[in-house]
Amino acid sequence: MSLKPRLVDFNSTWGAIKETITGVITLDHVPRTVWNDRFSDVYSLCVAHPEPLADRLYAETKQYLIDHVAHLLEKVQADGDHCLIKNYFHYWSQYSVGSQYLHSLYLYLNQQHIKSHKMSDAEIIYGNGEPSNSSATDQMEIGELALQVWQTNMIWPLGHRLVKLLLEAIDLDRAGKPPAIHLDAVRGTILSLVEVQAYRKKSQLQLYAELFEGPFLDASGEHFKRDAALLLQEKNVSLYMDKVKGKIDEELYRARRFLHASSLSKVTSRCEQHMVAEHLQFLYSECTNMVKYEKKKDLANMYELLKSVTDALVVLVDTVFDHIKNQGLAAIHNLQGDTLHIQFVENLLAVYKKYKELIKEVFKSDQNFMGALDKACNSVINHRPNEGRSPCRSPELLAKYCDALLKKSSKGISETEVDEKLSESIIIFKYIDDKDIFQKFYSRSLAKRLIHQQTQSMDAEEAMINRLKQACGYEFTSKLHRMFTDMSVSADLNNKFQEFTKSEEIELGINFGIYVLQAGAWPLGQAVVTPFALPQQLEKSVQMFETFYHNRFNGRKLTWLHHLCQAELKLGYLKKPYVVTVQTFQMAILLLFEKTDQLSCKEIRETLQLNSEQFKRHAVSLVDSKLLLANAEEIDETETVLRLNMDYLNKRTKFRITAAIQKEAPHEVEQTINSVEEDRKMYLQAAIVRIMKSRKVLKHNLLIQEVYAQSKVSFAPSVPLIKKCIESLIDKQYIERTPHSSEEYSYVA
Amino acid sequence: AINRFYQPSRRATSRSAPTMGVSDSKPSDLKVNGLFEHYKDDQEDAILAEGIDQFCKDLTILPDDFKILILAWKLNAEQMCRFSRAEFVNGLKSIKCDSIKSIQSRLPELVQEVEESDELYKDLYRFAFKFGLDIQIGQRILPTSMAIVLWKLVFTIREPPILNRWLNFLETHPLIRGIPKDTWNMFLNFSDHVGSDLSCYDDNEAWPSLFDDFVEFENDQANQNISKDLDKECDEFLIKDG
Repeated sequence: MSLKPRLVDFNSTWGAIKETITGVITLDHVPRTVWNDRFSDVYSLCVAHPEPLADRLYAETKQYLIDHVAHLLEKVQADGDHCLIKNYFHYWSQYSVGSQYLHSLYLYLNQQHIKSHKMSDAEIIYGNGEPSNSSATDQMEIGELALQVWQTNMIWPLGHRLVKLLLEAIDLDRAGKPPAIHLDAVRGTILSLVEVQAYRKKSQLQLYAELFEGPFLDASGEHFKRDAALLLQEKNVSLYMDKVKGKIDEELYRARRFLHASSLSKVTSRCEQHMVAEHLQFLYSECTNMVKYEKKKDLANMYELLKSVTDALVVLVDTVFDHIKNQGLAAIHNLQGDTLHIQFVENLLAVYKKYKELIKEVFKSDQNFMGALDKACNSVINHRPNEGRSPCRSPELLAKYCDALLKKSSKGISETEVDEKLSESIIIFKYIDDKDIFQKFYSRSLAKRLIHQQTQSMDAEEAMINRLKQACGYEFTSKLHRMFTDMSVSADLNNKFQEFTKSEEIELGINFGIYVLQAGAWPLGQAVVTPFALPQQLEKSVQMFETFYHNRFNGRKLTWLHHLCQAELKLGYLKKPYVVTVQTFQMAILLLFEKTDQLSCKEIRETLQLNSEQFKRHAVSLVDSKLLLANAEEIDETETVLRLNMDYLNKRTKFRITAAIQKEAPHEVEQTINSVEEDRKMYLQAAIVRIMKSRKVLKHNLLIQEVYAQSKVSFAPSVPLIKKCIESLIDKQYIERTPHSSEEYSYVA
Repeated sequence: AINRFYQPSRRATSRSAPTMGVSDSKPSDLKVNGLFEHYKDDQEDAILAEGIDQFCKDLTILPDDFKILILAWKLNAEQMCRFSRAEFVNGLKSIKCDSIKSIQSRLPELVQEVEESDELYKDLYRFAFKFGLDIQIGQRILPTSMAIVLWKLVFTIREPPILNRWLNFLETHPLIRGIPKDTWNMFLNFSDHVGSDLSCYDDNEAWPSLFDDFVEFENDQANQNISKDLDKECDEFLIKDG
C-alpha cells in the first residue's frame, strides 16, 4: 500500500466504508483486516488526487449518522412508553460506545483535516482567530458529530417524554415501590444527558440541567412540601426534626444513585428550603424548652438543620446565650459564708465547663455558640447586682480564691491540684472587665503572703504570675515581679549585713532580718504607720542597719513598717522554756516585763507610745493567750494592771500568738476600689497624651476608640470617664481643640 | 496746670467733658492721658474700683452694664476693676475716643457692631472668661457664681434660648466646682447647636462633660414633670371621688 495521493473513486470507496461503519456503530463484528482497510480508505479519500475528498466524506458520514439515529428513534419508540426508557438506554449504550470506535476509525480525518481547520485553544481564548468562512470550520470530529447527531435527532424529539417517565420512576422509588424499569436504565438515561455533551469545552451540564435537573428539582420541591405538611400535622418538633434529617439522608442516597454528582447539593438545599427554612417558626417554638432542659439530641438535630439556612441559627444562639447566662447568675446568686470566694469561682467554672462541653458535643464547637458562651460568661462575671448599683465583686473574689490556694494553709490538696485550679482560675480572669481591680487585690494578698512567709511554694507563685502576664502583658504584672525581686534582693542584703556586723565586730544581741521593699511596688500605704517607741533591745540593730544601708545606697529613705514585722521570743521564766512567735508590738509589750512582773496599761502605753487602738488590740491578744493576766475583765487603757502569768502552761513549746485577726474591713475594699479609680484616671490621661503625641491631631471619636482599645487589657473605661480625662488635659494644656473644629484635638508640644 | 484743668470739681468735669469731646476725629494723646489722670488711683498708675465707679457715673452708665463689658473688651483689660495706663490710653485711642462724650456716643456703635458680627461676638465672649478670672490668686477656673454673672452679662445681646435652663442648672448644682475655659468657650457652640431643643444633643460628640450632665438633668426633669403631671391628675381624681 502506498501513502502517495492517488486517484480514488469516491463512490466505491464510500460504499465499503459505509458497510463497515454500520458494523462499527452497532458493535457488530468487524474483522481486523477490514478495519485496517477502511482506516486506509479514510486516509486515501482525505489525500485523494487531484482533489482531496475529505469534505465529501464528512458530509456523507454525517448523513449516514442522521439516518441511522432516525432509524434508532423508531426502534426506541416501537414498544410504547413503558419500554421507552429501557429501549433508549439499550440503544444509547450501543451507540455511545460505537461512536467512539467510529471516532478511532476516522482518526486521520479527525486529526489532519478537521483539527487543522479548527482554531487552536489559544486563538479561541485570545480571540485573534479570524472567523473563517470555510465549511470545514463547522465540522466536528467524528465522535462529537455522532453525539451531536444523537442529541438533535434522538433527545430533542424524545426528551420531554423521557423526563416525564424518569420522574415517575423516581417517584416510585420515593414511595418505596418496586421499580418498573431497571434502575440502571434510569440512571444511564439520566447520565446520557451529560455524556452527550461531554465533548463540549464549557457548560457540559447545560442540557442535563435544563432538560432534566430543573424539572426534577421542582418536582422534588413539591414532594418535600407535601412531606413537610404531612409531618407537621404531628406537631412534634423533636419527631419532625428526626424525620427531616432522615429525609435528607434518604434523598442524598437517592441522588447518588440516579443523578450527576453536581446535583447532590441542590437536592439537599431544596429539601432544607421546604422542610426547614419554610417552617422556622415551628422549629423555634420548641427552642426555649429544648435549651432549658438541655435535650442534647434534639439540639444537635436543630443545629444540623438550622446551620444550612442563612441566619436561622441566631434564635438558637440567643436562646443558648440566655440560658447560660441565667444558669451562671443562678450559680453565684446568694452565696454566703467563709468559703464564698471558693464557691463563687468553682460554681462559675462548673457552669463554664459544662456548657463548653455541651457546645462541643452538640454544636460541634460552632463559633456562634462559642461566642454566646463567651458573651454569657462575660455578662455573668461582670454582673453588678442590685440593677447595676452595687459594684461587681468578681475581681475581689477571684483574687481571694487565688490567695487561698497559694497560702500555706491550703491543706489536703496536692501541688498539681493547686496548679490545676490556679490555671483554671485564669479562665474566669480573662472574662473580668476590671482586671486592674483584680490586680490591686491580688497584689495586696501577695504582699501579705510574702511578708508573713505564708507562701506555699514560690514555684506556684511564679507560675501564677506568668499566667497573668500571658493573659494581660508585661505591664500588668510588672509590680508583682518587682515584689519578687525585692524578696530575693533582701535575702542577699541580709547576708551582706551579717558580714558587715561580723567584720565591724558589732554584737547586736539578737538575730535580725529585714525586707527592704520598694514603696512603689508594694501596696503598703505609709498612712498606716503609727507612732511607736522602739524597745531598746532593737535599737542597736535598727541603727546599725540604717547605717549599713545608707552607706550602700546613699539618699534612699527607709520607713520602718513595724506593724508588719514579727519576732520570736524565748520565755525563760516558766517551768519549761517556750519559743513564741509574736508581732512587733506584742513583743514590745512583753519585753517591758523583763525587769518587772507587773505594769499598768498607762505605763506601757507611755513607754511604747502606741495609739490606743493598736495597744488595745495587742494587749487583748496577750491576755487572751494567758501570757499576761489582767486585773479586770475589760481592759481599760489606763487603769488596768497587767502582770506576767508565772503559771503559764502550754502543751507545745513553740507556738504563735495571733493578734486579733485583722479582718479585711469593708472600708478597705472600698479604699482599694477608690484607689483604682484614681489609677484609672492617671492611666487614661497617660494614654491620651501618648496617643496625641504620636498622632498630633485626632478626631474626638477616634481618640475615644484608641484610648478604649489601649485600656481594654486591664479595664473597660466608660466614655464619660475618658471625656473627663480629655477635659482635664485640655485644662492642663496638654492638648487643645483645633481652631477650625471643636470635634478635633491637637497635641500641644 | 493741665492737671488742674482736668481736675475741677466732679460736676465741672461732667460739664466740661462734653466740650472737650466735640473736637475732631483724631483722639489726642493729651486728652486721653488727661482723662486717665483724672480717674487714676493716688498710689498706683491705674484706674481702680473707685475710679471706675466714678468713670461709669460720668458716662451715666451702670458699672454692670453690658456697655462697660464692651469697653473693657475694647481696652483689652486684663482684669476686672482695674485699667492700667497702657490699656486705657491705647484702648481709647483704638476706638478713637478721648472724652466722656465721645465714649458715650461711640459705645452704642460698638454694641451694634458686636451684635452684627459673629466673629466679634465670639471674641468678646471669649474675652469675658479671661476678664472674669482673678489673676491675682492665679485663678484658671471661673467660680460658678462669677460665671453665672458673666453669662448673664455677655448674653445681654444674642441671648440663646437655652440660657435660663443652663443657669438654673448651675445654680441648683452647688457641687460644680467651676467653669474651665474649654467649657466656657464650648458653651457658645453648644447653645448654637441645640437651640431650644436638647433632643439633638449627642453625648458621643466632643462636648465637655458638664453639658452631658446638664442634658441628663434636663431630660430627667422632663420625665419627672410628666410623672408629676400624672400625680396631679390622680390627686384630682381622688379629690373628686372624695
